[in-house]
Amino acid sequence: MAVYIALLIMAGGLAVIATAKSLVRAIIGAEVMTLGAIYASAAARDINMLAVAASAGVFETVLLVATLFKMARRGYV
Amino acid sequence: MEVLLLLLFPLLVGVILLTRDNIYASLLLSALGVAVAFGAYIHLGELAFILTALVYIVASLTLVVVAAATLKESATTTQWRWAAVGGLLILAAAALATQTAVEPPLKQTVDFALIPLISALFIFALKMAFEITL
Repeated sequence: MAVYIALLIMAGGLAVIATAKSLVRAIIGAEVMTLGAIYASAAARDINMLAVAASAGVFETVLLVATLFKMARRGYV
Repeated sequence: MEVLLLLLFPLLVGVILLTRDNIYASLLLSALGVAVAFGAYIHLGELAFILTALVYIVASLTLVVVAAATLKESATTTQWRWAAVGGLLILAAAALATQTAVEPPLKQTVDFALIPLISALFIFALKMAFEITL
């Protein structure tokens, strides 16, 4: 059951990315997919893996937002 | 208990898919983060809840700021959204058909060697982010 919930969240994240009209919506979709990974690590009952997945989500957000700002500065957004 | 989450997740993701406003979508992301944090609490206890909820509330509030800074009008809704929402509901229905028992939450100690490693990676990511934006 937990496997399906993790897959469901990941499918939701993919759907948000696929229907994204702006880059901010694509970043939100990437965050939702990372939430799926966090739930999967919680269902696997490994808190260290959960900490690693959460921190990977943070790094990903930082880098994606930085890229978004760079593109906005160059005028591509 | 997991059945409640199974109904809540497609609902929240479906509303994210159907909304046009990015600020509203970012706030829904923080709600989704708290919902997944509750799911993590079921399996792993309070520390998992705090960790996930903290990370996701901070990340989605950052995205609210970013979305507010890049305000644009969006175009008409695409047909894709309804297909995506429908696909999610089908997955949720398929998962409802299989039920397993959930054991009580496991207490685990966090490996403290992770903290310097994750901090080093975070500083590296921040350095990269500065180099990208400047």
